[in-house]
Amino acid sequence: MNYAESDDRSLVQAFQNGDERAFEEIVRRYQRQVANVIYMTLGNPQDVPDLAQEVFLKTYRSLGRITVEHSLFSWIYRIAVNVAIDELRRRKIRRMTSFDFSGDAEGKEPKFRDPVTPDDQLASSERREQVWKALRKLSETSRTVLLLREYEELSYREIGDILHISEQAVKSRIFRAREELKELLKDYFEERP
Amino acid sequence: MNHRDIRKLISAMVDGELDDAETKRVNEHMASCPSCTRYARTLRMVSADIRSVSPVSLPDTFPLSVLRALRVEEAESRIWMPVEAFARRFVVGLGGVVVLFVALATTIRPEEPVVAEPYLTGEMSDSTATRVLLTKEAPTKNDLLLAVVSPE
Repeated sequence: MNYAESDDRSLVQAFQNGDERAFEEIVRRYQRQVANVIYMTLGNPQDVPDLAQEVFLKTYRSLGRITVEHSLFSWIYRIAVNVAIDELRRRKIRRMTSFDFSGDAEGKEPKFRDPVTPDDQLASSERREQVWKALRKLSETSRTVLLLREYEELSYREIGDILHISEQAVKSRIFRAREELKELLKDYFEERP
Repeated sequence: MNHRDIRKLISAMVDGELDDAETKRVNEHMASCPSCTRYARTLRMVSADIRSVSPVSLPDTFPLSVLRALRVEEAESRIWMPVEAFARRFVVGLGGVVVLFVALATTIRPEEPVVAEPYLTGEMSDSTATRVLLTKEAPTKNDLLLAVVSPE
């Protein structure tokens, strides 16, 4: 059976019936999103493979409990967010207990996609770095909803399905997240005339 | 509608989530409100900045490495399975022994000694009762019974 064409529900059903190739397809389908959540939370691309593996091992163990009313993406996304946040907490505790304040334990700076022009790069690279830092300072709720919108480019309805909230709630959360972000970036986004 | 309400709509408009009527209303407001126009521009800029972070990618072989890790995990759990089973049985067995011990300790008690009445112990005679009672430091119920029913 060619699972690449199958929808999520069929994949889950096939997995629950014992077909591991269905799980292989699930990993292939969602590895990009899982990698991005981990990268966005921890900021270091070197952390991604091991933690992504942990996410899928947890998914494998928990997939037997998933039912028709769950979205597979939402299920995996929640696991990924939890794994990334747990790792972040572990590192913060380790940093506090080891009194090591020398490095940026929250990760290296990210690489940015090529801007349109070199001038644009010069003008905006610092601002984008600040945006990145501010994004990582947002609450988990705000960051998750913004990442789903900006990075995964999902509609409000799709985000609502994943987070089990209404479209109106998504709209409010995204607005609040942007207000939070704007407050963190007020030096860079002053409302000049 | 205050500025905050309008800005909430602007946020949704930037995401393409407003219907035509709402979009028209927001545009009309922005035409006469430079502050909200700048707000919309700022949101678009932040949005572009967030999207400019380059995505990380995992190799195409990643699903296979996950399956390999699963095999390793399963093999390890098979190795530990007998040890775990033994440990579980040991704990259950030990628990059973403790429960039995506690049950026995609370239900089975040694017979309490009965102190003989003075009129019996003080009776200096050659009776069987006296013999029985005086030879016992702590006569039991059975000793008393024997003393009472025994002929002199």
